[in-house]
Amino acid sequence: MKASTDGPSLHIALTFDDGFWAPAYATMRSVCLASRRRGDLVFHLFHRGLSPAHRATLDAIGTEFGAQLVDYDLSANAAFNGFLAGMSYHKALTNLVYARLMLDQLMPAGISRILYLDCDMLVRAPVEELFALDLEGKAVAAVLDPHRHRAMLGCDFRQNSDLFSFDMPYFNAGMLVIDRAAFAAADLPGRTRAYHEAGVLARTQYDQAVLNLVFKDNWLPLDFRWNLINPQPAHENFEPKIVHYTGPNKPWQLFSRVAFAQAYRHTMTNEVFYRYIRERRLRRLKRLVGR
Amino acid sequence: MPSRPIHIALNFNDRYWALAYAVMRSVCLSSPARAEVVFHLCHGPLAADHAATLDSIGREFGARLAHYDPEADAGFRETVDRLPATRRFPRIVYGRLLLDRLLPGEVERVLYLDCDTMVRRPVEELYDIDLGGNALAAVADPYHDGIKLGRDIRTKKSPFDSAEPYFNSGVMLIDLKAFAAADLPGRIAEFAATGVLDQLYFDQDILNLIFAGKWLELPWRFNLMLPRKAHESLGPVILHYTGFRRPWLPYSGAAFSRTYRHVMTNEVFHRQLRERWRNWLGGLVGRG
Repeated sequence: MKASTDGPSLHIALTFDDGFWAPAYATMRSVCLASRRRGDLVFHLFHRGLSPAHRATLDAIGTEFGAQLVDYDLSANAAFNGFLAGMSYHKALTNLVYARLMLDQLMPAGISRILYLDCDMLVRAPVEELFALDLEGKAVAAVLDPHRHRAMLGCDFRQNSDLFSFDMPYFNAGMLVIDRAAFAAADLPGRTRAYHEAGVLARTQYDQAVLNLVFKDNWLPLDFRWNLINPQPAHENFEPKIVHYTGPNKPWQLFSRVAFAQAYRHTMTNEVFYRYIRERRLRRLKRLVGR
Repeated sequence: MPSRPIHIALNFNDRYWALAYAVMRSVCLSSPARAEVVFHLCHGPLAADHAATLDSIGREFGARLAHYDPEADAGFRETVDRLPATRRFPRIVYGRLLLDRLLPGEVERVLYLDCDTMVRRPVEELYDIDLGGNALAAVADPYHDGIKLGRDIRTKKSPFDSAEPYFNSGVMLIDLKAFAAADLPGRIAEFAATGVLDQLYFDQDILNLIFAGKWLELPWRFNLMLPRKAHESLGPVILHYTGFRRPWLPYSGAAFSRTYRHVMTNEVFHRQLRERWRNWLGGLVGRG
């Protein structure tokens, strides 16, 4: 068993913009609620355009659990913005997703293991288990993506055969246990730029495809319960450890049919849950009336 | 040392040609050993364009296809004449009972797959397992009690006990020597003579009765029956589309229904759909 070299601290990275502030809060609160080492948790928040009011709400994570929050304003980060120049990206996901490829550059020195989490997640097990995990020399640990075949090979599974094959293991990049040194050695920004220039990014899943191409044969598969994709009520009895709301239903919607919808609302706290709903409705209304 | 080539047997009639194509394509897509696969296709007469589509598997993946007409075998006809057949369970389904007779003598091990299955992992992970001296390996059927004993799990006269293990015959890894030694035609004749045959549910009951205590139970992942969307994240290896959710029909709601369409290929998917609708309309106007 390889122990972390980061002392007692458990470093967790999240990337989000202002529209996702409340799910980010719920993800952090779920990590704290499920962990026995709340005081050792350090959340590295990579955000862009986060309003002061929303940022103030996130502070509750520190006061309620004693966890530490470290802010990185990506809109003012020269390295990140320099990387984004001219880079193609998925319009719905925005180019913020590329921040996860640069975590080794963006985070302070002295951190050897990073847990990256998407903000549409509910954590139900102690994350310290992932920090105690033996990575067996691999750069990352992740979970096989059940919907990988279409993502890799497109229509009739006859595209992208120069990059992928049907039997190639392909992970979901929403939860990554990262060995920082191996991650840095892979030069993800450089490789991503090369894939962009070769036209590969536009015909694949952008950052997720890059991670899979770069770390092919260099990732450790974890049990599906560490990243349960598209969770439905039928999954609840399997005791998933991290629930990943990838499907069309989201737990921050009022009448959601996903797994642990009620638990999610209470994790987000009812006050934040309903505030977030009011905000989204107001925003939609403003869009409708042209303001 | 794993045994090669990988022998896979399918039984179907012309009505299920597109499903057979999808199963074969799923096996080839998911296995790096695709060029070492031999598909043994037991079927009746096929339309020329259907046969040509099936044969394209060889060109796309380098796999080999061997065709067999079980009705041309006198032993098959003699055995199957004793057995019930319906539109849903036509005579061809019994081909799996006589694989030792139909397939060439050098085939020692065969993986039988129903045509309503889809394979998602390298088939050799199953093909190469140690059978532990058993005649076959299969997955326990989760609906066994009703199949065996009927309504209220007591109304059907049956040779089975509700507590005994019972497998689904849609996915079976078979040791053909042990299979031949079990003398299925002889046992079926015996069941017919004693009246037991009237109590049996097609081929699956026959196989369970003959191989009771002689089969290796596989994990559920190798034959996931009635697959729903919620199963997708659990890592099934072979999906078995029993029940009413059929991924070869639009809006089926079955697990991996979109994947299935692309495995079948959109051209074949829509062609078989047009054929179904044409047959259905033909049936309505009396030209079925």
